[in-house]
Amino acid sequence: MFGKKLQNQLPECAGTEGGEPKENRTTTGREVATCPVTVIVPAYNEADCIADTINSLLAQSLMPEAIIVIDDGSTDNTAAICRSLGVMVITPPENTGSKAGAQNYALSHIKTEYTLALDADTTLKEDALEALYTAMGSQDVVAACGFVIPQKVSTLWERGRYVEYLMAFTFYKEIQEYYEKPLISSGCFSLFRTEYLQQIKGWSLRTMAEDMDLTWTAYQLGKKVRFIPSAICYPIEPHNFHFMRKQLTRWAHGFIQNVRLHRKGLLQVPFLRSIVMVMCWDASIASIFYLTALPILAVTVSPLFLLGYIIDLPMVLVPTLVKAYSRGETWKALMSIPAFLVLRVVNSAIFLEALFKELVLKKTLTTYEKGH
Amino acid sequence: MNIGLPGAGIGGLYYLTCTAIMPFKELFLTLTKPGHAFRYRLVATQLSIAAGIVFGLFLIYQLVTSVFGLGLSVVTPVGEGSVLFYALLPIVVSLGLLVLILILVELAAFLSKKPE
Repeated sequence: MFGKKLQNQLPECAGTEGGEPKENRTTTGREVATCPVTVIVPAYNEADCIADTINSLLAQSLMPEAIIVIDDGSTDNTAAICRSLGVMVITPPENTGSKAGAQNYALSHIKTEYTLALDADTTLKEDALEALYTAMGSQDVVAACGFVIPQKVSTLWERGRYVEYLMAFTFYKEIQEYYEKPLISSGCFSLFRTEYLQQIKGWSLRTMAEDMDLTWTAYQLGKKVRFIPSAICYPIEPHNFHFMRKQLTRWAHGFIQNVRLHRKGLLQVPFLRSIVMVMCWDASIASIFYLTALPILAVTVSPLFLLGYIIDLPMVLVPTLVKAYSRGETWKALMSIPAFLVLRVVNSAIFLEALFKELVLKKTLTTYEKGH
Repeated sequence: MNIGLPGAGIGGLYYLTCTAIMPFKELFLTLTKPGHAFRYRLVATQLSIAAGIVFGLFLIYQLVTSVFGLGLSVVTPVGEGSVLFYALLPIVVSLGLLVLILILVELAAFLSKKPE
């Protein structure tokens, strides 16, 4: 698929844990090792960004054996662009209706030991695949995910998300990895053992957060999931309120659906059960306090209660700036902090709305809508 | 994927607590698990971040009390040291809440265990 096979020197880390790379190939004259990985990229009208995604895959320090784009009923020239870049394009008979559906369609085409799920709008750092592949050493490890940083940081919403990710992946996720329970193997960029995906019959359609479902299922089966901070991916985040709302709504409903679905199994997984319970508290009770009690107290008792909105600023600032400094983006991060505070308010409001719909109105979200 | 209120709430406190436990867990693993090497870099990085957060919270408290004169205006029945008491109160309440939630989770886990 990528050119003539060569036998040459391998990257040092390749094959040390995730299995021996089989061969070397060339892409654009480069000599690189390959690993037994098939990349699947579900795509629906992604003509604007799919070329960048494919090119970042073709520029990896450790090449996948195959790249499959699932053209899920696109009406633009997504498929033509992919074919022109030399990757395989498969097309379901009709639109599958969700990312999970498209990924499941591709599952039967995968012949390699590992499967990389990558969003069509997500580019990778050149050694991202190599870093994840190296982490798949133990047979118990069924999935690995990386550090997520927004590709574009321009609008209010992108800036808010930029801070959120820098904070969460630098502090929260590192701790989750230390305690061997990353909360979620990110849907935009994760490497899986194909055998595990086949065992659980692929990505589930029963919730709106199939990546969370898949991760929690793994823990309940006694498997491990890894977070590898050096494996960096760059997705395009929602750039306006319309798309951000769609994405946050899907995530909020997905979280609630997963908690309901896995509530008994979760209790048997130490650390994970604590994180989830604390998240449930913060997202519901703390959100109500944040959105109603604080403003009421500010009006009726003292305006000083408004300080409650910024009192935890160090919790956000310190991890964000630690990471931003190492990336030479301190100023950008500092200027984006106010956007995060806005995004946080919106996030908590949307979660409460989702909670009300799921638990009180019994209106479960079942329609998958793209986040951009 | 973060839902609700990332940063605020007892979630932050939970992660700070987890970080505080890390060096002890690492020491335990090093002493009891053959071949385990103390992960200095990871532990030091996370502890530094946690320390920075705690220091930042302390600075904010100092800033707020100096700008708005909080604490000084609090009428206290317990005399000297009461300002510190009121400053620590939210932290103590949050910690108590966190401990309560964690106990409830562990209790639920224990009760839900199926008998062998």
